[in-house]
Amino acid sequence: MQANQHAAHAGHHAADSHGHGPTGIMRWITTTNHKDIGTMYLWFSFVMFLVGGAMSLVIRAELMSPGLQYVAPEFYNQMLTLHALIMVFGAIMPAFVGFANWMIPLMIGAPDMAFARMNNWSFWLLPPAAILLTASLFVPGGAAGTGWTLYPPLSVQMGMGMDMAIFAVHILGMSSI
Amino acid sequence: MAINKINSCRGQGYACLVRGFTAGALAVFAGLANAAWELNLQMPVTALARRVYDLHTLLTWVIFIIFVGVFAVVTWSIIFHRKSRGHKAADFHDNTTVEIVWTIVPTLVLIAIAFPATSALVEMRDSSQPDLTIKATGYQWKWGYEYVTGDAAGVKFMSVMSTPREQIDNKTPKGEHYLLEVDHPLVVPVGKKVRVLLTATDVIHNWSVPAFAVKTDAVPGFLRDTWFRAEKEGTYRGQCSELCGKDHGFMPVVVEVVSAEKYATWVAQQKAAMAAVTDDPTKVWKMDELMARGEKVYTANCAACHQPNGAGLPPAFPALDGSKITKGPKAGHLDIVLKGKPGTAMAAFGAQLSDTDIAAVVAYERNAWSNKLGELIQPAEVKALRGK
Repeated sequence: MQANQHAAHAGHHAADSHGHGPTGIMRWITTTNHKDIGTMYLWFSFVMFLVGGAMSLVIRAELMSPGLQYVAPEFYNQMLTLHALIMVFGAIMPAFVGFANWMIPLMIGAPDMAFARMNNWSFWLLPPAAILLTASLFVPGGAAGTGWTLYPPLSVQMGMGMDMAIFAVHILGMSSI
Repeated sequence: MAINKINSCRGQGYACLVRGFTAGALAVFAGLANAAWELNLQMPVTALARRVYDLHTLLTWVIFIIFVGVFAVVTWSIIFHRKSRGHKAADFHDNTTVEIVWTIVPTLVLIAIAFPATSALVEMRDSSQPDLTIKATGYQWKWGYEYVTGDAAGVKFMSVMSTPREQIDNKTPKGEHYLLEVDHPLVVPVGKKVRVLLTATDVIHNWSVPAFAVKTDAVPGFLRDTWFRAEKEGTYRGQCSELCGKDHGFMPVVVEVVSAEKYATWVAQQKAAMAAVTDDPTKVWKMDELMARGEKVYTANCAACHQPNGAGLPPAFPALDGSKITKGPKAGHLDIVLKGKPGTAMAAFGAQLSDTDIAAVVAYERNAWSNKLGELIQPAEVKALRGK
């Protein structure tokens, strides 16, 4: 009896995942499951929230008292800019998309999101963009220090960190289409 | 203090305790706040600023009343209409009367606040018939003022923050007007309509004086304007309000409003000073004179980026000590100082400095630190290069 139940359970499990999906990292790279993708979005958003939050800690620590304490003005501007871009495009927007991925198919009774593979591709555009944005801190001249509006002509005075930020925002934008 | 108060309340009841706590809390806040515990806008000193202030107060009240109204209904519903109290959810589908009411009421509220807001905005934009016009130019990172009309027409100067570097680096105590003081403030007569034309040479800046309710972008390549009519003599302070790069926080706006007599005296002084400052363009300068003059010009115009020791802040702001340009041919050096370098923060100082100042600062850069080229540069050489 017990053996029967176990077999039935195993069989059910196999049917659920179709039995021949990739495992390990490939499971996440190739997944079309809206819940998997929603989960990835939410974790990505949380990591970016921590990165952007650490930058705001730098900003607040510097502003705790008047005068220059910990960072130079140009680095402060870079923190300000990256904090804004990362929080808006890396934390808030992916968090909404993550919840939408999880909830909307359940709410409307659909088996998955429309264009399930594109849904996966949308997510996987995010990590390269996030790496570009954060890596721009370490290139000569540092990251963009223009505020998140990236207004020219100030943006023209920045180094290659500005180009990386612009490219990153384009990729993030493509992801959200 | 709070504890003393509470102790002294023994046997006097609840009201005394509340007073004690309030007094204690206020004392703590007063101790925390350095200069002043200010939450509201600055006290207005122009009729327009008063309108803006009153408008802000009005809107805050409107928002407060709506907030309290909405959340009172929400809270009441949550507490008194919960399932645990046996309340049954209503099951009607729609109610045309309610829908009309909740469309019309917000529309009326919007119209009621749009009228005062729009008329204030229209007045704000009406810079016609000024008593005097001043052109303010935003530079990285200072303001340039030029009196275009009025008694002071022709007076022009740079207004650079005068807070000492040691205060910013926390080496000496901060002054009363830390980061809000300049070497040459803008001086205007009281009660006169002053029109300020705004532009910039490098990036977008913003000229803002909260007490006048004035805040206008200075955009390179565009001429915009704003105006104010100050009613009270005094010194009014503001800051650049559009992120403009490294020293955005170090280019304050200071306006001194003075009586008509004081203004006339100031204009006379400025004109006399401008006449006296005009250097003899043919004068042949000696090395020690050039170095002394050059160091002053360098400190005021170059040291923010290239640093007082010439080491710069690479790669955005290159070093001058031992650089290819400062040790190369002097024509190239003069050229970059006169014309700037497009796409970088290096401004064209040809428009800002006189021939003598440029000759002095370039000579200084070529002979200071480890750059001991021993070269003299004369104003006449700068003048010759300007034409090219």
